[in-house]
Amino acid sequence: MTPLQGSANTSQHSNRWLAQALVLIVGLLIIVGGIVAVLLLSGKDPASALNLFLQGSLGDATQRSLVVMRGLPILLAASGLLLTFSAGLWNIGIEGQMMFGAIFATIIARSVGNDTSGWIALALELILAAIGGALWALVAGVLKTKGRVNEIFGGVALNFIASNIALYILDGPWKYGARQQTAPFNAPALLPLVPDSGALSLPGIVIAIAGFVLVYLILKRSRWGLQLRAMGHSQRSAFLLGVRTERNVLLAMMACGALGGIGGALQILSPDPVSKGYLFPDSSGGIGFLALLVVLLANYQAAWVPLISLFFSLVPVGMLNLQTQIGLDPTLGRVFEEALVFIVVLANGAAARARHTMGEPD
Amino acid sequence: MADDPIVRSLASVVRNGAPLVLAAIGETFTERAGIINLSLDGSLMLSALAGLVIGINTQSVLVGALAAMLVGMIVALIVAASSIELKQNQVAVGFILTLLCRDLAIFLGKPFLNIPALSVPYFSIPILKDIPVIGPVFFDQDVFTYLSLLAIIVSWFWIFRTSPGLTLRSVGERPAATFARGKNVNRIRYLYAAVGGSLVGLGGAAYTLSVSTIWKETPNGGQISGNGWIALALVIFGGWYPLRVAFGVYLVAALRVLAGNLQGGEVPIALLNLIPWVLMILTLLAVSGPYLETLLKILPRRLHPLVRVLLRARPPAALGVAFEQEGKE
Repeated sequence: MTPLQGSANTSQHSNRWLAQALVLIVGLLIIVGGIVAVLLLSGKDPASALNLFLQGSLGDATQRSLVVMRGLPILLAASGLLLTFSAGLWNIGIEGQMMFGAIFATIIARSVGNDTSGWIALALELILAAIGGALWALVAGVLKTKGRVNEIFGGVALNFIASNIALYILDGPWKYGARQQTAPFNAPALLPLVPDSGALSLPGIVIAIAGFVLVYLILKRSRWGLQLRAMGHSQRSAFLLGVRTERNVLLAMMACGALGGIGGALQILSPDPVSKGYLFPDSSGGIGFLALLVVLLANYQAAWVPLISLFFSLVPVGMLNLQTQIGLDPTLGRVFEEALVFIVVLANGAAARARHTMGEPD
Repeated sequence: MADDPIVRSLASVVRNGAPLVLAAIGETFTERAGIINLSLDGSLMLSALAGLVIGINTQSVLVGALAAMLVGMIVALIVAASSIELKQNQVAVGFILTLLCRDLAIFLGKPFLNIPALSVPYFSIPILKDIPVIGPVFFDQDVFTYLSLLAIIVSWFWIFRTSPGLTLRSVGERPAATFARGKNVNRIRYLYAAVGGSLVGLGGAAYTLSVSTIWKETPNGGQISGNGWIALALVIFGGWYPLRVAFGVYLVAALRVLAGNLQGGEVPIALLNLIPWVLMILTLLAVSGPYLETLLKILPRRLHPLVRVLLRARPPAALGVAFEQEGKE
């Protein structure tokens, strides 16, 4: 390579980064400006709101532990989605799969007495949660492979069906008093906490990290991961090369559903204040959709997923403080996260476009 | 005649179906041009809110409806631009916009919860309204319902009976061939994304200005949320044919009127709410699955054309794929 070519390459690179940075900065300015405008219009001081947000999310050990614990279901679901995205699948049904995990875990959790061994109870709950999530994902998978129903529409319908099944159960057989929820679970059914740590639960953390590491290793080191990635590039080519694509679609969906199901169980199995400690109609709480956004924000790069999952749980935890202190609607936190992902995706596109017009190979 | 309960139910099916008709016909236009605007569930809600708020503030249904159309158009153009200019996945961008528009509508709409909006007056069309059954069902409605009926007829005529309609179909099927015939593929795609998005926005306005006239959307659901997904599925069920899409919408609306009558009875509401989604899966299976051929084998040959017309669905070949002009620098 001559020095001239080298400098041309550098300028192409800087162009690409410039385009990306420009969209990012302008986008972030718009988001921040919008939030400041909303705060000012509703008569709230932006600086003190930021302070309340940071205090509420990172202020003390309890708040920080809350961020970690609420990040675990997001991390588990996002890890599962890394598998399906690699295979070129849009598993929007993750939301319903998490709900099914929570419902299946409840089958055990609601019958656990105070004298049961916590470890056995927890193991059974999580195994059932994985089965529940995997089964619901299998439905979407079979609809796709056998029925040629696009997994996006099958998944959306299955999400609504799952949440209505939950409503039906909670309004009927599992109803607790007059409320749409199960009775609070007994202590052995819940995740054990580290004493004096706020809300930290070691088994929960270990399970979520193990799920992520497993997915990471599958994708980067295993033959199956290679097959999935080949399918993501071209299902037809992978099939012609001897990959059993139909079976792999089902397996990837089920693995994702199992991880999501465990995530759904964690959503209800932590003691207060992380979760409620009982099953309620909206137990999946949009976490599955949030996990889809995490993977999109990470641009499908596994290594970024844990950090982004933590950030995506930090925002709602901080917003909670703003809600209790100055009555700000926590939906604003969701809007912020979604707008951020939107801007980053556009910025990635701008970088790709700059690269393309510079004639740089993709 | 107008007091006959069946006629009244039919009239309410046509009226309640209007927003879904407008949204699904809009999406049919957009997808026929090769762009999939997945954001419908969110853009319907955001445009509905725009219609309500701007309508209240200006005391004008027309301005409210135009604002809603503008919102729908902008969202659709963002999806188109991120595909055409930035080569981003239409599904990814559409999905993000679904959530963003939905939560934005819920957040911005909170002060307007349960505040009544403007309502559109009914006006019957002279002479036509006196036709038995058809008169009261189709010609004694409000302006949004008339617009929805107009959208069905105009879209069918435009797509299948005009020269620009032929170009529209070819852009969605074989963009390279359209380009070779001297047409600007991407400009046409922008155009139909804008047209389709405006119709989606008009559908949103039809919710808040005609069907419901009250804002009820919260994170736990509402009246509009979920309908965008149904509209998207109806486009598939309709096989990208406006008349079949409209037929699907009226089936859904009729089912809802029926379910509304069942409410408060023996069947739990959660189970009633399951029905549309189970049906969505079953109909998608029927139109896209391999079962159509099996069905045709069983049925007598005489029925084959009818079953094909009703059930066969093949998406535009270039749906969701960005067009890259060869040799373009």
